[in-house]
Amino acid sequence: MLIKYVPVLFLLVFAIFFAVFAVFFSHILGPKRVNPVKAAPYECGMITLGPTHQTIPIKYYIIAMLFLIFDLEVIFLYPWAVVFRKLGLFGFVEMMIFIFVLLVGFIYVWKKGALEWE
Amino acid sequence: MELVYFLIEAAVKVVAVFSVLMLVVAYLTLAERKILGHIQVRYGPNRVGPFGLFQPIADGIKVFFKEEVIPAKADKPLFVIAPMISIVAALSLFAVIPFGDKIEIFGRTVTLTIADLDIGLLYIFGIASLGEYGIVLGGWSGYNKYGLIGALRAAAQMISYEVALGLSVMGVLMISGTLNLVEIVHKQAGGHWNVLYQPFAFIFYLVCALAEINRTPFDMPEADAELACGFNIEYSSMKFALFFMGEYAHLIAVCAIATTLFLGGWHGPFLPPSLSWIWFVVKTGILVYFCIWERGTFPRLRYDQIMKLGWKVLLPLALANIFFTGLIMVLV
Amino acid sequence: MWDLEVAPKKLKEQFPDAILDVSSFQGEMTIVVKKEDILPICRFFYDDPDLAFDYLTDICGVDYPGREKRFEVVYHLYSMKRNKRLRIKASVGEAEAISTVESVWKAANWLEREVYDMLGVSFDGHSDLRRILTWEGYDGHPLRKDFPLRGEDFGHYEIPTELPDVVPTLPDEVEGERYMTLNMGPQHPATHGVLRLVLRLDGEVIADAVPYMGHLHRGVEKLAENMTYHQALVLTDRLDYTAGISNNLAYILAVEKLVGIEVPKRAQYIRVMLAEMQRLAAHLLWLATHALDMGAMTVLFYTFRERETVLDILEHVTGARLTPSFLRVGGLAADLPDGIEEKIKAFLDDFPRRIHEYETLLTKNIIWLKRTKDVGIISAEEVINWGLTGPVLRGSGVKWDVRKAFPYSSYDEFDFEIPIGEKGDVYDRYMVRLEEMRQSARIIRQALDRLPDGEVNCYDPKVAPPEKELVGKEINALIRHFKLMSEGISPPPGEVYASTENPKGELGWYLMSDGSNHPYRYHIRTPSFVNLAALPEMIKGHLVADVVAVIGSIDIVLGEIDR
Repeated sequence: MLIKYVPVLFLLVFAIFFAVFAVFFSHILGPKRVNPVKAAPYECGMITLGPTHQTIPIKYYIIAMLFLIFDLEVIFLYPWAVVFRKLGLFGFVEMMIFIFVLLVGFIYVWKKGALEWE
Repeated sequence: MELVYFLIEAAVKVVAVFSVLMLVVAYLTLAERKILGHIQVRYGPNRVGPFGLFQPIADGIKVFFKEEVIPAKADKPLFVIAPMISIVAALSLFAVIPFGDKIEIFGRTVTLTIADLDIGLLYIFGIASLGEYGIVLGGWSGYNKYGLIGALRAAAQMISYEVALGLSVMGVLMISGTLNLVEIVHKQAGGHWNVLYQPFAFIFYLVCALAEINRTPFDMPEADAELACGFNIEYSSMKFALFFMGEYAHLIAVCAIATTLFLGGWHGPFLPPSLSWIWFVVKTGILVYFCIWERGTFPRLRYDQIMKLGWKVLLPLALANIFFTGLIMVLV
Repeated sequence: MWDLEVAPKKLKEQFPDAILDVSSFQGEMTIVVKKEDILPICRFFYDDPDLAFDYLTDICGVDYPGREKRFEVVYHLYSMKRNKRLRIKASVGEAEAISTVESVWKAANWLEREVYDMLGVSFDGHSDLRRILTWEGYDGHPLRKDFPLRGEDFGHYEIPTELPDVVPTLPDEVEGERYMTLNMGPQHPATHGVLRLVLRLDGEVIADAVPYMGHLHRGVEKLAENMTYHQALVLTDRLDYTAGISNNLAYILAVEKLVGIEVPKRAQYIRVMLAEMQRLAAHLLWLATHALDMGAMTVLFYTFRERETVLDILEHVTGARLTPSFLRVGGLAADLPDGIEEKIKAFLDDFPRRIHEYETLLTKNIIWLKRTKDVGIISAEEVINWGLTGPVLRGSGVKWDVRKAFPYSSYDEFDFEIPIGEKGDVYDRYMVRLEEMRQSARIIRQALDRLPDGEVNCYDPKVAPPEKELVGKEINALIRHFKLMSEGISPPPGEVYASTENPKGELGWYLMSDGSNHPYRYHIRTPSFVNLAALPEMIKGHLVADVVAVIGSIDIVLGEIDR
């Protein structure tokens, strides 16, 4: 029944309208006195040294990959949790095996030091 | 005909929720400043109106008339859209939150929730993740190094805690057997609040939620002492205010969700069903107060410590919680 | 009793021709040596187990435009083992360079840079000889005697169209764009003033950090060298502006040593009391900002509540909250006002409870522990080699305090402990300062209880004006008053170094008189300046958030770094 989602759409439209309206009107109402210094990036009052958008350290990507794996796990867990009572012991053991497999990988990552920052 | 009524009802509910929410968000900023003021032996705002009650209105007007500065090197479309994403996502969260029991208005039974979705909880996690884009893009698009560091921190921290957050509510799902938030509340009727069966999950949820909404002691993307306000460093006027409102709306949302999932939603003694929403407001208010209170108490954690807490402590503990919940349910 | 006379004797044995002169003034020994031998001599003083001058207190330069060798570089050494100070001097010509002593004491790094910047003396073999207080590309050296004092003497100044290259000297990038260069400061909420740190970041880990200062440079030393001794007092409040009276005290002690006068006991006790009050105010401000930097904002409001009481008391006594300038050569400007004792007593009775309150918020808070334990560790050897003083030194477990080592202003008559830490991390420095506050309160109470009667000024005709009633009645008193006010005091020719234990560390004055009414050389050894030099060492390999924690734990004030 997609009709159930129509109120969500209403709220979404309302929120978007509000956001656009607010930004637009502050744009209209606010003063505009732009100068190059004001439009420069704020770096504690000094001129920026070197590039800003540059190579991002690899650690962040490792976190991103870990997230992908575990978020997928969470997605699998949702339907399992909902019907958990119906699945009984079999479902429980099944899922624990699944989690265990992921856990082995997690422990490996942990031991490798991917979760250390210094 | 039924469809028309349904749409009218939906529109009225959206307008009502939206207006009340905006008012609450505005006054939450005042409440926070007042409560922090009380904690910190000072008055807080008391100049604009009695007890500073018009302060949020004054702030709102001021924000409209502020100059908006867009850095020359900024990625303009993203820079403008980012705060909108933040606020829209935060407001949309309220679509599925049940505020109270069914009530009768003009002979029509109205559920006090905008949309009674069967996948309510999934919707919440999905929309909440969208909100992160606002912060990450906002920090990135300003072409500012502090903003960039803030954005990177935000990305890493939020995705880390999203995993733990998702796992922490799993126990509730196992007990309730549904993703529908209204159903989850119904299952807690008669004092069977989930917090009694899932106390650890409740604590995990609160910690993860604080990290998810970047609140002290987890306010890494902002970290005013280190990053000089981090992701919103280049923002001014209404766009800055939108981030702010988004943050507060999100704060209310996570507290409301905690009430729904763990504290029995609108259930409570003494009040008739038509006034049950008062219980919901009280419970959510207590949680919001907790969030303000801990801000006045705790120092800020360091970035690596937050990541460690998320991955090395909360994640294994949440998994263990699922394991033991399952074990007990299978055995009993 | 070990005698400092051993030092020149031993030096003579080792370097027969190096010593040019040995002299003594007000109990301070000065050895003038040849500049060629300065490095081996310093090395010898440092290495010799009997002398063990392990501590470089200060380096400064003096300009003598008339001399053949124009500059004199003055080293102040200190031996912790013997508790003795020694001054070494070496003359350097304008075109010459003197060897750096950086290899002996790391503290020399910044101190020599300051001499280079202010006087243009270059140091051979210095690892990083750049200007430090003025900017790169600045024309001239301000502390030279021929450097114009006033703007109108400068001639027309034009802003250079091409700004000099001020990009910091960081090690070359090795792997492409791996590092991000980030300015932290001068306009940053947590650098405690206009300190600029250029950080080289690998992700969030600090690969390198270079501090830049001088944004607040006012040329205090140059100004003071053209003022009378009394006028120069008001400049001292503005150094460490969190502790005005402590600064007054250090300067006044130096002048009194130079003139050679004794101050009445009552004045000494009140000085101690005020200085300790000021220490409380400074430490409370430190705790407030330190905690705020770490995100614990409530502590700020609690400590400011108490600081307000302290400042109230100081205002009651001195008439000013920030810049008292209350001390005078020979004593104090005035006696304690009526009713102040009850105020102080009430505060002291309340204070222990308040410290406990701060501790409940922080000391055992798990987040606070996580943020401060094992962060910014500096070992006892390092801390001495860097010349650090104050709570930073004691945090690393070195039990040294100017108040105990060279008890000035009757500090030896008070009973107090010197708290020390173990590891030298941020937490230890935090605990040391908290305990220092308790000890300060103890000292204040003792001073108040045992406050002697009598005058608060020595009324020595050389330095102090006659009493105000006499000025209206007697002609000689009027003349004396007029002469002292217009001309000021003229100490005998000589040089002294006097220091006090300030809230931030050892604050020392090197005063040189040529017999005239203004100091020939007025050099300030400020604790923040020397302490900050060790910052890059302490934060390397840590995260951005730790920079804030470590800066807070060193407790710097840019007013006295930049001078």
